[in-house]
Amino acid sequence: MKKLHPSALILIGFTLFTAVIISIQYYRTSQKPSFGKQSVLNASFSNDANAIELLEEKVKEEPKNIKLKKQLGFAYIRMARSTGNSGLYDPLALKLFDSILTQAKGDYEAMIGKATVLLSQHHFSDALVIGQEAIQENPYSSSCYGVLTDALLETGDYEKSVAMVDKMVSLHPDLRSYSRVSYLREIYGDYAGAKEAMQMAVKAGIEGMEETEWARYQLACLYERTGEIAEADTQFHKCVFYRPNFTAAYLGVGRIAQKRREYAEAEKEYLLAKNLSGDYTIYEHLAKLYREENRQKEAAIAIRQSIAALEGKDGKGNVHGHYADRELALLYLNSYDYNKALIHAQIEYDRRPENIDVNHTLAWVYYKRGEYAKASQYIVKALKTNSKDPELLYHAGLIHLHSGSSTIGAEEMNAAIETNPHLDRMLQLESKYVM
Amino acid sequence: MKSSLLIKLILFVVLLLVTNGAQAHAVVYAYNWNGAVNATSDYFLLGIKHIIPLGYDHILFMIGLFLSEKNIKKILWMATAFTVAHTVTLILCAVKILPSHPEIIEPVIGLSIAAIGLENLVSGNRNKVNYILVFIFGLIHGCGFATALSESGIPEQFFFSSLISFNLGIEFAQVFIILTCFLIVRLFEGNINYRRYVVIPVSIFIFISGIIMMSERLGAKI
Repeated sequence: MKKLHPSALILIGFTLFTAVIISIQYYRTSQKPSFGKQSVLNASFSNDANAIELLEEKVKEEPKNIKLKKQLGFAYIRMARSTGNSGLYDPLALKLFDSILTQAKGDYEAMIGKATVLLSQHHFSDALVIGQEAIQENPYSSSCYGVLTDALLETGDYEKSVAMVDKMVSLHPDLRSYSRVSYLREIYGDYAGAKEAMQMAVKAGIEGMEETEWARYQLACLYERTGEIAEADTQFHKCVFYRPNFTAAYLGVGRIAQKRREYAEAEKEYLLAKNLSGDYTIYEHLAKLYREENRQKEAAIAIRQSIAALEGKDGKGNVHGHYADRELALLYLNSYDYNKALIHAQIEYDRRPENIDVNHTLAWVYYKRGEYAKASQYIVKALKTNSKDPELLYHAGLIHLHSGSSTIGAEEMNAAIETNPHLDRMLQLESKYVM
Repeated sequence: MKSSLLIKLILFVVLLLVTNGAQAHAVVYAYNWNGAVNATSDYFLLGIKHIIPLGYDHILFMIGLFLSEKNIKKILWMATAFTVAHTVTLILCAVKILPSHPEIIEPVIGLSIAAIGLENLVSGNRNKVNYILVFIFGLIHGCGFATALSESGIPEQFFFSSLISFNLGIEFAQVFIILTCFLIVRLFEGNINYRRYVVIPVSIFIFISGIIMMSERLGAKI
């Protein structure tokens, strides 16, 4: 008998093994309820709007199917981010993840999903607890460290947050970890490093993917904050180009136009964003634009709309489960209602006394109320990480000027203008008045 | 002299291992299409990205293919057979003539990697069966490429140009891998027993990786 060539034997072996694999998978598929002909996974990533529609149907058919429910939950999260309509999608996602965790208590992916929604709703302490539970379930999941990084950062534990992101990067150096590194570097005043990390995040993603465009948007914001408005403009336009429904990117394009005093163009972009989403920030942007154009009546209406969108039916800033007190404090400042601004800033401070943004907000509220000693006390805490955020530095400068530390104040204001010569025009006007 | 050869060998193995972070098909693309986007260049790049750096399994397969033969002409002929085959199934799957079954295709891709590693270990001389084998593997990998492409979505108005660009991107990446391997192997030329110090250890690595991939993909929930 003629001896077979080894390659022929491998071919026969390969065919037999393939037949075994087909049989195994066919058996498994026949034991499980079918998704139908269209792949749910594919749909969920190609187009989240379509995927949500499809997945909602499938979840109705198979309410116990955990995998489907998780896919739907994460699709809601992505939709919330890309449309800015978190008031609609976050509660839906939260309900799903809660239901999964009732079914399967230790499902760490569902925990990550739930913690992500809680972060979006600004329930940072709750997210921290869930994140810590998730990491017990899977200490090798970079997503768990991502959730913990965010929660620790928002609750003001910056050192631990840095430790978490270090672990995250070592486990999985990708878009998500690089973008967090960027944010922490920015908080610690390293804008060059922050840009570098965010550029790496963008490069690590695929153009058009929700996460990639979110990272690109953050990169654009970094350029914007450091006065590189041409580069910021390019990046915002790229976001719009790749994701035509990305509300925040339209706002970015509009902000740059506003900085260039192209007010008609800015308004057009804001209105485009408004057509896509009812997010409160759109009205906030419109209000700032109208104020700069001295269209005070329209500005006042826009601010009221913004507050109404954010405050919710209960009037306590808990719309759809979101804690929005810091945002409300800033809006009330813009509507010159300093009492309400203080109430909301204080509520947020009680929740997160160590967070630099919260301290910054409270300091600015006290400044607007003319309570400079108190403002000074909180702005010191806001500056504890040596952040070089031009707006923060400018506010700190104004506060110090009024508190009698004129040298420090002037230095801070100069540093702010040096970092971003295109700082908010209304703010710069205010400083001229003070000087 | 020996230590410098050892360094080169280590370098070669390190180059293989550095791709470990990438997971083929584990990364799912989303492509929210804007009609104004330049479909050709974007899908060309997507094709490249699907191999380098995302396609750990395809990189291993191409290295296995490269190691199966010393003659670069024959390697390129085998790569052509692979290309023709995967182009056929990629198009057939994309136009939905062939159904998409990633739960079967993904473990079989792992199996094909193990098979090419094994073949390099046991088969010294080449004949027509090798080409047939590579062609069959190409058919299977084409279905895998189609799954990746379906995850990205293809814009209807640029369907065929996107499909061709994606395939060209894959080809570009494959040729790049083969040429890179060729250049690296040139470093050892004439200095060491190529089969003993390069083909056999790397093929063992490829074989084991293929088995692991197949097992992992079989173990994954459908």
